[in-house]
Amino acid sequence: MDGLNLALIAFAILIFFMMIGVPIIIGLGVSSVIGIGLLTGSLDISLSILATTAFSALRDYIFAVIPLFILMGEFVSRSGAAADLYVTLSRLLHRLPGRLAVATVWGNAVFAAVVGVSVASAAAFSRIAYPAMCKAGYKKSVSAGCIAGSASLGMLIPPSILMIVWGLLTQESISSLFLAGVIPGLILALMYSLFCVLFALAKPEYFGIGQARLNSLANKDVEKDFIPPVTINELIGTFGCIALIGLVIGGIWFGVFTPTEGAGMGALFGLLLALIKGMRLTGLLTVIAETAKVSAPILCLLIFAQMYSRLLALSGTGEIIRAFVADSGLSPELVLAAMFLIWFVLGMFVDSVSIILLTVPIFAPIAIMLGIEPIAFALIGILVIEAGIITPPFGLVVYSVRGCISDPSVSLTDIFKSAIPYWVMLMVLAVMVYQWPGLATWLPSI
Amino acid sequence: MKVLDYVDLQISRINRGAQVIAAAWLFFLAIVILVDVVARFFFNAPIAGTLEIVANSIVAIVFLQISYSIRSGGLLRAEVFDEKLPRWLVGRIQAMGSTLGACLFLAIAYSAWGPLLNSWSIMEFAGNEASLKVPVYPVRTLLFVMSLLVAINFLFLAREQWSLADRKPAQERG
Repeated sequence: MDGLNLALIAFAILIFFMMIGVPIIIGLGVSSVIGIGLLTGSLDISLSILATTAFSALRDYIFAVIPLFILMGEFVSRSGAAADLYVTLSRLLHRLPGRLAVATVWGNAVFAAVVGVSVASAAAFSRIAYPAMCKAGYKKSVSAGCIAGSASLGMLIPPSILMIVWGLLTQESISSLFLAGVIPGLILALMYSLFCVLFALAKPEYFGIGQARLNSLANKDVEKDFIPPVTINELIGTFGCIALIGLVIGGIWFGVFTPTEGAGMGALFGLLLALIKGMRLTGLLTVIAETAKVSAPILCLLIFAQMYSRLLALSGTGEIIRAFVADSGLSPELVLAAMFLIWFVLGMFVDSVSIILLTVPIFAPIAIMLGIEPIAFALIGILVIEAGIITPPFGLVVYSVRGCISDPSVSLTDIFKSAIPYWVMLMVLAVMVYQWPGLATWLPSI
Repeated sequence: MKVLDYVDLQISRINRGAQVIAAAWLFFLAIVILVDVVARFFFNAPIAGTLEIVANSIVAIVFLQISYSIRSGGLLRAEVFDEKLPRWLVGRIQAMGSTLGACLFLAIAYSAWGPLLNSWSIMEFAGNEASLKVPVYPVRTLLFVMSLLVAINFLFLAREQWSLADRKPAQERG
């Protein structure tokens, strides 16, 4: 049997394991070991590669960026800073229709700049924004949909774990990827807020506007109920987040430090902010436990992803697919549409990091061959993959929102339906970045 | 069965301890990085060996954390068919997945044994005289020991998933 067929057997094993619900790490690890064993005809060689990979795959300064950014994000999200941001934004936007939904979008945008994981933003805002929106008379499914949709900003605005993983796999500069996400991230936040305002104007009853009027007739101070007076703690939380963004993103942008250094400084600054905001030993233990729970599987996945890359390289699968695409004479748009489809379908079943690990080693060289700017392609990929986390049936963020709001009157289907406009906008932005790659490449180039 | 439950309890304690050590190690790295950046930025004198310390620490930190992550539900999996398949079958499939996980990490431990012995015999170091020589054999030892611990954790998880599949929903609620 030739290399491609053997690699296909390994790939079939991987897909089978994934579909029946075996954890991705195990599926990826076992199928890669079997695949390399079949290709080399020796299990000993496969195990020897496994030993080398397990020890050396993560032996690089850059890998520290993942646990350190996750640690920073955990400190900030558990310090109560997200709630402070939300209240401050609600106050600033008090004249806007759909004010609380727009505050959720921009709260997520700012929060995304201090945490690198969408699920973290979804969990934080489900606890903060959902009760506030319900209290203001917003339709429950609209509120939950807005929280789930806005959480997708988490992976677009730096620091982003997806960008780090993408950079590690394609040897692209992580600093450049971070900077490339800023403008598309801001455009997406603008698109989301515009949608919320227009939706609120079209259907005011979904945004509690009729309710607020009724309330205000009975109680003139109703608005004050929703917006508490400014406190020192709130200002510390809000300005702490802004200072952290300035330190990390600013430091990377001006070349003062590398992403790993930014993450290290950010983690310590996050600890300081959490301590100032009253975090004690129990909170600290929760933060470190959560960091271990989230970061260890991602890094472990990267070990097995290297095994998988070796399998692809040994079998020549990447070359064969590239040659097939080149010979087929398909237009770049059609090839990109096929990639979109694969990402979108995979996004229904598996998490974003796993999708990147499985597809990017094959797709990125094809994109370069088609003449797509690598940094713009990374952004396009992340946008489409992020759409997967708010689409059924897997939609990780929707499950997370549903779990955090714990409101039996809102079903998963309700949230999935309300999140549709948000992933449509993600797709529109992906097409915009393809049409105008400068949206992604301009900032890293200056 | 009680003996196994007791062993499982002790293993959970070890997992938590390992995870706390990993966190302390991570804070140490953050401080090393901070000192390096400050020394470089203000005094133009970066700390020698920062790269080697950080690079060699990450693999140790990951293997210290992974057991805890596995037992606290940190491994992501597709749950598409969970609600469509009978409960007992989902439990059995999960138990099979965890047993495969145990085999995978046993394979890592088995394959890491040779390089570990070699590393001890030559007292393997990373880095060079000009920066800082970081001993590598403790990291290799940790990788071997923690891989065994991960495999044991996967086996206990498989046991849990298997027995969960046998339990009736009412029993579980109670």
